[in-house]
Amino acid sequence: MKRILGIGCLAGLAAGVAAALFAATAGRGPIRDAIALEDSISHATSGAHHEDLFSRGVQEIGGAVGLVVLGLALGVIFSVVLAAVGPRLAAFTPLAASLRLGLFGFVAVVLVPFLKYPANPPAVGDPDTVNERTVLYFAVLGLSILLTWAVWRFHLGVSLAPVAKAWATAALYGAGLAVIFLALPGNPDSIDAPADLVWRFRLASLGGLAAAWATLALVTGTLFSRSASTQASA
Amino acid sequence: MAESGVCHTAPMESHALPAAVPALPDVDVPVWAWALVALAVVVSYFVMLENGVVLSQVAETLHEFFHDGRHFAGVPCH
Repeated sequence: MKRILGIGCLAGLAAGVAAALFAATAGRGPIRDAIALEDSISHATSGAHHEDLFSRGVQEIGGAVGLVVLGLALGVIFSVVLAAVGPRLAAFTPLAASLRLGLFGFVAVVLVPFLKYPANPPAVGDPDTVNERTVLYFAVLGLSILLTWAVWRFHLGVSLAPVAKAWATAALYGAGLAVIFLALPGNPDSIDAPADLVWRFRLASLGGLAAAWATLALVTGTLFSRSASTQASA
Repeated sequence: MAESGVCHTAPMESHALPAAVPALPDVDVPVWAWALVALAVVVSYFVMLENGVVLSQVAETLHEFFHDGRHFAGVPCH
């Protein structure tokens, strides 16, 4: 089990570094532009410049540190979940199993929340609604993970012909998603920043998270494969 | 595995997966590993979503330090 956690830490670090590199390249421009816009708006409305706790440079480093820490945490979670579902995925090689879990994880943890509440750059976001938005974000994240788990249990438990099972599983997942998307309210904030800036940021964010998950699944799968083959030959 | 593709004399069976396919380790995940998962979730919370609900004073410092990463991860921000 310790070896599994070691794999998770390594793969998580690699994923965090991938996200941080993406943020430093694709994400840097939109964030800088958005903060410049935010500053020009606050200058125009209040005339006073609010005291920044950290300089831009420190926030960029802190952001990278945060992404690496998040990657590490995700890597630990991913490797333990992969080990826990491993007996159910005995038909696949470790790499194939890891890539599948990575794909489902990315959809459940990143893509579905993103489709409901897309990432926003600085300059978008009303401080008065931040608690409400945080609760909504948690809600869509939790419900999405719960739905994925429930559909997975359904897929394992139901006895149907393979084609019927695939359709039933897809229908259940689609219906669950529809309920989640319709039940949760939209983002309470109005987005006044230019759409071009907002979408440059969103694509950078989604791309970086996709790169992180792909790295996570590839590295975890590769290390699990090597670990399995050294175990088999030993 | 790489050689089998260029070996013309190999019988068809050699292209099938070997009998001992390396599989995921068959382990029962111990409780302490799940505790680590819980810890990882808590750490993620502090990086991503702490807006002062749990830590009121330190929160703003944490929030501002991780600011860019939070936005990039798609987490709601002020």
